[in-house]
Amino acid sequence: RQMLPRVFLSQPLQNGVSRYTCQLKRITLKFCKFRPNSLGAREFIENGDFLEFARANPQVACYLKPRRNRPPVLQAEFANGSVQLARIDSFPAEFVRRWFWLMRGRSGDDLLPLHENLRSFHPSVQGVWTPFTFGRSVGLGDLSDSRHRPMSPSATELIQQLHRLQSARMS
Amino acid sequence: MHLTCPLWVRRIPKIYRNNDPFYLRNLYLQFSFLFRGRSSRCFRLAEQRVIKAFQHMNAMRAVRKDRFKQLCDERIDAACAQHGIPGKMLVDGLGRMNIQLNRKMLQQLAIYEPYSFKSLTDLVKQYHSELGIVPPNAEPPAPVVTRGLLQSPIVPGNRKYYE
Repeated sequence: RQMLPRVFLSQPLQNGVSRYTCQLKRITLKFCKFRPNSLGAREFIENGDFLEFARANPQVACYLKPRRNRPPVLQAEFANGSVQLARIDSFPAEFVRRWFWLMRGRSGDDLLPLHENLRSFHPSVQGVWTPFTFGRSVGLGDLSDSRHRPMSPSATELIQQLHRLQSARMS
Repeated sequence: MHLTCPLWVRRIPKIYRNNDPFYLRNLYLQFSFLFRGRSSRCFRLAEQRVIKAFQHMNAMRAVRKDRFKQLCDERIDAACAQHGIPGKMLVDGLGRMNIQLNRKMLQQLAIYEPYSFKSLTDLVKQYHSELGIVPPNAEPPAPVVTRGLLQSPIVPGNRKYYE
């Protein structure tokens, strides 16, 4: 709890409830034209997968940045302003493709541990259980067994005391 | 180029970064930002607390699973007790009837879908009463029409008896 707080599953502005907008705005593929660890990235571009992604997602601005002597990196920028980096060092082209499509589905929120993998604002159709759902069969014991006693006697108890005193006096 | 503020201020080449004390201390302070007091700000206090917190995290993983299982069992037990059967009887009975609901789902039903849960307990009571086992403290269940299917359910193995 102290190290990494857990969060509940959520989308920015309830994205997807009625309308869905792709949260990914810009994706940049930085790679080297020569070094072997960028081979997967180069193949991804040459096979036409990059163009396929760009055409299938007109809402995303796709950039290529060839950078000499640097390891390949995928940089995704989202609608909430966050930037996520994926190192694709020595990845095969298929893995690079999968990372692209993964970023397309993300909301840009930080990746934090979840309380639960599901979330619903209306989890119950029949009504959440209460002690009174099936009649008053739960949680109602005889209060005279209780260890919690009030300081002063109640009106009923006062009248009962008076009755006892009176009947003692009478008999 | 995306550099954080400290990196802009201190343009230290990467080969020296591992030896620079700022980076060594930042490794721990990154994890201590939610701690109380100076342990969240001062490295010499944070280092000890962070190491201990990592140990706790590791140790708690198995314990957390056990505790949630226990909680789950308690909830099923309590919900069944309201209907007069023990929790184990419910889980066992449903298994025998080939109703594949695990404890997690039974717990969710008990909390959010109490009437469905009641109908499951009725089913289990019916199954047991057909076998002649009467759970103690149980009210007689709502009449469940079974046509013998609880004892010999239609599963792929005995489909030929029903065709």
